[in-house]
Amino acid sequence: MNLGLRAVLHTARKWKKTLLVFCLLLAITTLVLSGLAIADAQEEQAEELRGTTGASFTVERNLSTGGWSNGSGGSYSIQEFLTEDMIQRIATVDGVEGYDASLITLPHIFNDKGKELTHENYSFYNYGSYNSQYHELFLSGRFEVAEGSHITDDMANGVMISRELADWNDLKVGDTLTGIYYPQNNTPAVDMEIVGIFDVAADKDDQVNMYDDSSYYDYSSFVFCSMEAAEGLLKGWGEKGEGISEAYYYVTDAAQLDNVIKKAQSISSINWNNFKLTANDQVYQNISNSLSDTGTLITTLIVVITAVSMALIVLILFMSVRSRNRETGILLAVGIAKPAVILQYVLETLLVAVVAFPLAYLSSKQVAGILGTLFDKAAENVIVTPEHFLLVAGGGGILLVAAALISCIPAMRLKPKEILSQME
Amino acid sequence: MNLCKRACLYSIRKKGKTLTLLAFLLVMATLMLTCLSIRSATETANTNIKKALLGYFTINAKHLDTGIPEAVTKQILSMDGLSGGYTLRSYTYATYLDTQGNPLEINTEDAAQIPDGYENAGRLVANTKSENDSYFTEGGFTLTEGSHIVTETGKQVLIHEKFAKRNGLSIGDTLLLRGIEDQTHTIPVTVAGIFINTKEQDSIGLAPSCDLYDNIMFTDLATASFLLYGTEGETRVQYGDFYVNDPDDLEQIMAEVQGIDSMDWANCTLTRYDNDYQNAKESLAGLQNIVFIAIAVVSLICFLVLALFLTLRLRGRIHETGVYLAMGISKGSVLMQYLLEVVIAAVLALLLSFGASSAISHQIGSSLLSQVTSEAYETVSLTGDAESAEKSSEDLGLSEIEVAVSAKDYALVWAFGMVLCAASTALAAYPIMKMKPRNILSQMS
Amino acid sequence: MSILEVKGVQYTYDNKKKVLKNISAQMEQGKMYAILGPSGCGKTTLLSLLGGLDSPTSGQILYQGEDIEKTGLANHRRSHVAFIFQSYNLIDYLTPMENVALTSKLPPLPILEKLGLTKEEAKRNVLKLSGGQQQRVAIARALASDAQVILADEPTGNLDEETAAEITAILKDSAHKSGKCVVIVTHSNELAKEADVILRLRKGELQILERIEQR
Repeated sequence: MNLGLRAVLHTARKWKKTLLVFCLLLAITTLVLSGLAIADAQEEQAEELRGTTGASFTVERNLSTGGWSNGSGGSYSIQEFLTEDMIQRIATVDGVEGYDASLITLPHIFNDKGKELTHENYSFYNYGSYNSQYHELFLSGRFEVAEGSHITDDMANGVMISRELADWNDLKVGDTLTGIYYPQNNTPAVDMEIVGIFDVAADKDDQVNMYDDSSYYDYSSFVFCSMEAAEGLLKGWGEKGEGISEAYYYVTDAAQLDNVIKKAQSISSINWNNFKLTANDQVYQNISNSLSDTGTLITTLIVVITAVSMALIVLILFMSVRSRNRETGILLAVGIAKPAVILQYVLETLLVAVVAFPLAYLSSKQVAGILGTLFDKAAENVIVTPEHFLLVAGGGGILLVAAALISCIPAMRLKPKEILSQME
Repeated sequence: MNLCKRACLYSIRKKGKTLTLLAFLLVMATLMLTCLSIRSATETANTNIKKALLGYFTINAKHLDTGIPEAVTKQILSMDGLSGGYTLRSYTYATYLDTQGNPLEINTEDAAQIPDGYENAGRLVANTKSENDSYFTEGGFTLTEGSHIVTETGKQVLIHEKFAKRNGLSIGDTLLLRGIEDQTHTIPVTVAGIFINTKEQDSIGLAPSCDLYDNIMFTDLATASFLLYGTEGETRVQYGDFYVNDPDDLEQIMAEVQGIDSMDWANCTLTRYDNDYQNAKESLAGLQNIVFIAIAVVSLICFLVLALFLTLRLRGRIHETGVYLAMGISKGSVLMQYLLEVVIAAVLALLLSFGASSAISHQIGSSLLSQVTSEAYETVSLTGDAESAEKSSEDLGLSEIEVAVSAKDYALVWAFGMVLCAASTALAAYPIMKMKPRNILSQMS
Repeated sequence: MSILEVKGVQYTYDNKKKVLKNISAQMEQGKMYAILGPSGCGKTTLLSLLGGLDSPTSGQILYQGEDIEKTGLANHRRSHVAFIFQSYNLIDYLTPMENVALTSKLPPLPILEKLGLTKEEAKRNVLKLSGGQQQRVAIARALASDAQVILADEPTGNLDEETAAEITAILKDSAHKSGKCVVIVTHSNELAKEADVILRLRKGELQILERIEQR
């Protein structure tokens, strides 16, 4: 009778025992598979968290390498401005999630009846913007979109206004406004459509803000418009002296900020001598240590789980083989070779594993599913992938064979006579 | 022979079996304990992240005649949940005079206008620590000489390099500050430092003279308090930023602050700043949930594995059970014996597991520590900015992550372990106990 | 010619207690031998030596004139001898037929039927068979193998008198009809009486080599 048949018969006839070992293997494999999925989910969750820290880099004119010129308002830099082409090119670098730049104009704005809007200041403080959601004022939470949407780079003439301005002038999303930079100098009139209305959450009354131009404008006088519209406002006036001097790029993963910056700096069509690039990831730096601690802890947890699972499997097989000392003795006594006996045991284990592993794959998916319903957000990332399965099946298979072999050592080291005496 | 003696004898004589059981339970208990200690450590890490996301609230008492009295500041700082990080700020204007009372010259050339009464005046910024003021952190100001203002009562100022040159002032010189509206308040201050601005002021031509960068001075809070409120010996401030440990508590802490009745809260503005936390909140909760999920899965499967293991073990003792029953020992007594054996092993395992998991936890803890060190180094090398990297971890006052087995966790594992052993044994023994003695004996091999 | 020969065998247990002292014997095919003696006299030790489960301290065991130490103990166990035990030692998850098939390529059923098992019994769970039937299966397993020597350790020790007699008869037939060399270790005089040759072992020492020719 060959050992394969013996293995099959043992597995089938001793079905209760087989079932127990099977359940143990199933449970442990499910544990390890879930563990691997959890480790991956942690990775993803941490990446998501890093993404929320708003890590960014700023590209700005390098004033120190450009020349200076004197004009009516004092000296000004003649360094080149950022071009649209350059801004877009950097925005396509892998890992850049979003970007924005500001082109500031101080226009007067009129409603569709040609009447200038009621507001607090002499003019409006208008940011020409590509993607206003990445504007510092929105990112910092000082402004929040209340109605409509943000300005995006595919809009030609969108505009966002404050809630107060909307209330004072009875404006709503969809209305058309006309902006003129210098009405007395006949600069072009640009028609813009209100795409969004924002609320002001910040306390403008806090004097901490008072050091730049915009400080002298009330928040209600702040508007955001599409970059194209802002450029339109500037036409025929001050095109040479004004332009985009800074652009902001937000990265998907703060941990990758340095890589993204390196990639941006390798864009050869940009003369980096004229521009400065600075990284800003203060929030990420603040939490990165704690975050990687959490990562290490969870990874360790999974490693511990895996290690313990291995230990358990070895223990179980050890027990199972130990309880078969008598059978080993008989098989040896009737003249079956030791390797054949060992191979039979290994084969039996593998027979169980062949069924248990795929089932564990299914059951761990089930576990992930249940977790998904319990903790909606976090558990969505707990996904058992075929790669996990291959890893566990491969590693598990090798471990099982090794464990079965190790478990056989004590029985195999017995002298035949000792086996005989153990049997009696 | 009573069941205790049987249980002890079995445990001692069947060394191999007892050792296997012991090993099994030890591994399980260590796993549980390690998991729990990791969980508390991730909680610390989570708390640290929350703290590092810097949630704070600002009290704006600009419109109050009294400002924020020192007593109120102290009362707020003593409240639970505050991280201890805070910034007090005051802003005012003052006329600059030399020690003889002659006015000092300011920059008027770049100004849009020179307001009446401000001919020799400038903006006075007082901050708990001048280096943390937004002019320095965001506005591009840097100190070129002297040192920052770090005390509340030093009667010091920082002046712009251009202002220093224009008036021939240098570090250590004394000048007088005089209130604009209430000219009776005059206070002598010494120049502690000289700063420059690295970014051009973009409001040149728009700002009044007193707001121009080279007309600004930084001073300490007590000086500002004297100029604003005429107080001596008490420091009142216009604004207070108070950082909290957990941004989730921000709302509640702010409500608590507003419960302090010595202030006219109706004329104050309280603003919460926790945007970074709000952005990260969901992901952070997700991360924490993942740890919980891991622990839940481990606990569940531990129970399963233990139950199965004990079943496997008891199945090997059907013969023995039959013999006992045949001898007239009651089923309950046999069950108790088996339970006792498991409990003996469990007690030993639990005792040993404390040492084992403490060792593992210690290992994890030290690997975390070395990781932090290497990471700090990495940050430094990448940004080439050693100062900022060091500063951030220092300032936040984060707790050190300790991976250790707490007494609570240990007690929990004891309770959980004992219940688990009893339940598993009972469960495993159930099929055998259900059998009639006759059937058991016939199953003997 | 003898198939198995014991030549000046000594066996010392733990370097102290001499269990066997200079024993010599010859065993032939077609005969049944009984090693008789009280408990602890070294009967089972002698059987182990014959079966290659252990090596003598000094002396030789020869199989067909060759030292089994030289041809290999494992080889000896595998090809030359078959064991029968007091406790049957059947593999419990195999049926009688499968137990017999463990060591043999011959169809097992005829052998089992010859030893008195029905076709149904041959396919049953071995643990559900009576002691006598289990021992028959064990003998069948030994007979079915190629081994010319059958070594039995107290084969009737667990059986009632009647069944014991039947098993004894089967073993005797194995020697006389199947031409095997059957060596039985026993303390039962009843069983020994049936043997062609009785080897009496006393006080560890080979005291008598008694030979009773029958018929």
